[in-house]
Amino acid sequence: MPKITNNIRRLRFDHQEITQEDLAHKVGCTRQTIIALEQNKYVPSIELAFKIARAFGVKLEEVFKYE
Amino acid sequence: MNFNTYRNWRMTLLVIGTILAAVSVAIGNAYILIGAVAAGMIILFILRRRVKEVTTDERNYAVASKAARLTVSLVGLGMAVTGAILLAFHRADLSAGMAQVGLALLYATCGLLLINLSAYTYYNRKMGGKE
Repeated sequence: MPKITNNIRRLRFDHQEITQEDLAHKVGCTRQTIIALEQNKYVPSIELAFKIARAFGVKLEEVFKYE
Repeated sequence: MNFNTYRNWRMTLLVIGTILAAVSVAIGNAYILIGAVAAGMIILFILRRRVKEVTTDERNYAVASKAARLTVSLVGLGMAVTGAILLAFHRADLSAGMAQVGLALLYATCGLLLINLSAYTYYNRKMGGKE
């Protein structure tokens, strides 16, 4: 079954170890959502996915993978 | 104000509201209860506006949507089955009162499903479904 995974946790540590709280504040969601995303328990909307990619300054494909 | 402070205030207000509701019932004065509920809602509304951080996002809406769907299914089914059983009691001539409760439950189920259908149609059209 295809699954969408992400590299948010790695990207956070690559970007001065930005906290989940700070990332949530940057992209306009709750910390619980960032936790759920990192655990691959929630697939974000396209809008949130773009906001996260933009927050890290990378392309969408570098954050999310469709396996 | 951060979300934790807001949550603490909300819990405090809930406790005060519960105490006032108990007092209201004990002395038989409904105005205390109405006043407490109204004041609580206003205070919570003001406090909520002062919370700077994001408290609700798309994940909360997704969770609420799934929960609402399950609730409608379970409550609708439960009410329909209970109503039918109570009507069956009436047919067996066991109790006329139960039949009225059964009918009320069945009408309420129809109302619930109609509201659900109306809401679904509205959002389906709003989100690009059939015009």
